[in-house]
Amino acid sequence: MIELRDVSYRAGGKLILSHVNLTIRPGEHTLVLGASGCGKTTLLHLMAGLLTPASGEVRVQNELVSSMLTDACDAWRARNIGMVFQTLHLVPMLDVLGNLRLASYLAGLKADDARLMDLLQRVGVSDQARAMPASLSHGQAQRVAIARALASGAPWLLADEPTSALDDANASAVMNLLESAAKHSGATLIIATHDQRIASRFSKRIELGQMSLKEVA
Amino acid sequence: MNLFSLSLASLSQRRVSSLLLVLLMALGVAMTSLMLHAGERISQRLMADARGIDLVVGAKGSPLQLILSSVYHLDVPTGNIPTSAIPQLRRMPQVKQVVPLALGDNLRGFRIVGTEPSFLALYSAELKEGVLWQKPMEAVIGAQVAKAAGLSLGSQFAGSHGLAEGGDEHGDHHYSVVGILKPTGGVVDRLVLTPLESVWQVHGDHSHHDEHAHDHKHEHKHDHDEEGVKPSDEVTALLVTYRSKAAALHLPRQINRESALQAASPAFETARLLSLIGVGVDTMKLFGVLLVAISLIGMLVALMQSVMQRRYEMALMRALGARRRTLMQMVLFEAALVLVAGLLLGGFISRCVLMLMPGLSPQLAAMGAWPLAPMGSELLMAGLLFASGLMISLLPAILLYRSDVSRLLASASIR
Repeated sequence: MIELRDVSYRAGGKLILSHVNLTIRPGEHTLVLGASGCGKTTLLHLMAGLLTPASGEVRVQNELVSSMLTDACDAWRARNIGMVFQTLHLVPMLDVLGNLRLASYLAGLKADDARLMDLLQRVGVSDQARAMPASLSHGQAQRVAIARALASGAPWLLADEPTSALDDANASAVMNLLESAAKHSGATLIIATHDQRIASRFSKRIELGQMSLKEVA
Repeated sequence: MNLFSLSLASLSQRRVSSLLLVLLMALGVAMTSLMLHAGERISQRLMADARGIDLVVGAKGSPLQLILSSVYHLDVPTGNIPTSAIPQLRRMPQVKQVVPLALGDNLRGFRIVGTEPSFLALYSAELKEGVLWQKPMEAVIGAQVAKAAGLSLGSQFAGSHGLAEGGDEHGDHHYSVVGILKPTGGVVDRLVLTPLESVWQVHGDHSHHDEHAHDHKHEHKHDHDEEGVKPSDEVTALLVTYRSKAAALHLPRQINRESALQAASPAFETARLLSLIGVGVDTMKLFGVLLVAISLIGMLVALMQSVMQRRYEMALMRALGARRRTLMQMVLFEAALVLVAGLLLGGFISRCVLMLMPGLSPQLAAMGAWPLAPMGSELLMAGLLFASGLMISLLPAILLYRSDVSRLLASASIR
């Protein structure tokens, strides 16, 4: 379970989030909707332990992430959080399989190329295992990024604007892929976006306004 | 996947600049290493050649010239001295041994030295084949002379006048090779040794006054040609060994003050010579150190650039769970790989040059084989370079350590 209790966050003296309370249970795929700059990315980064709140608590599966030391939090994130970004997808110095191996290595898992190839197969890019990121199309890179987010076996899959730059067909394909990948690996999917096209896919939707958060039916 | 493969992947992404960096570092390392070897080798060689000789007595002039001409057989002698000086010195209680030298001729540039059998012990020279000379015009030749002149036991040769190649040949006096010395790597390898009487005999039979075609390119002062002085009345220098080291306090001063002779200490003059050579060696070492310093600065610039260019990538790795210290270690590992490659390549280049050294010039060949084993000072240099390289690369590593991952990820998404 992810729990945010009375969380506030400031950046450069500006209040980004104010007294936010939120609970997401395992298996409860969640969409965080909001306009650009309202704090969606900040909310995801707080859940992933990339940011520390100015006040309040962030707990993930009873671990007090907001109080963890940086190195301990990094190690925890490697095992528990898979992240997918809108534009920043892959580590360019490593090939496709190398990117998956990196996530697996950082999570402390044993090298298992068969499992990683299976993940690539599932997202439809197994034929690109030896390709360098620079040679991939945007869509292929995003598929690899999804596979990599699952390579660590993380129970939480956080995606930041995964469909914003895509047309309807591709946005739908990426969402299908994320949902099926999360379902197959048993991960809980949390997506932060301003893309209203995918809103209908989620039973749990959170609308993030100016320093306010409300759950919509 | 491990730290090594990550660092290697990062370096291979920048392979051209990484290779250039390694090459620059290797050249600096090779140059410094060669200068360290050259300084050590020259110093060892000079010390070894002068080891058995406490004092050199010769004609007045430059003491360094006296040592260079009589101990290292490099310069021209300061002049001749009367043979009467030999018994005078031998009578002195502080003196254990006096070995006279008579110079004047050469064989293809190799000096013919008239001396006594005790000369060999001074240079720790031993016979490889044959015997020592028994009578005048018999010669024992050094290993390099035998090889270069193609002489063997029983070979005959005539000397040329002067100490440098190109003088008139004493065609009517032939030496016979009766012994060949084992190679020593020292000056004795380049000498033709013969009894004093051979030199006197060769020079007693010819007259400079009659043969003005006789070209005296050399600067050797032929005092024996003066009116009324027979060649056998003179020698070029005397190599003296003390009975006790205490003699060093008084004997040179006594000779310099009370006689027309000059006494010079090989140890002192060699040290002076080494300090003169040392300036050149130190200058070359400085160039090497500058090259190494430039390569270190180059490495810092390359790493800083790499970290700046890859900060989004590093932030992404942090988001994947890479610890800050893992990324720091990756940068340090990259630096370590460049440093080790530079050191190994530099060591390899310097070894290749050291192996080729004897073939580069006769002077270098005369110094014998150059040892390839790493010297203490060389290992110290390598250690210092490695440590300072790692210290320098801490700067970009710390920059990376302090980077704000969330801000970088957010700004990358906006881009």
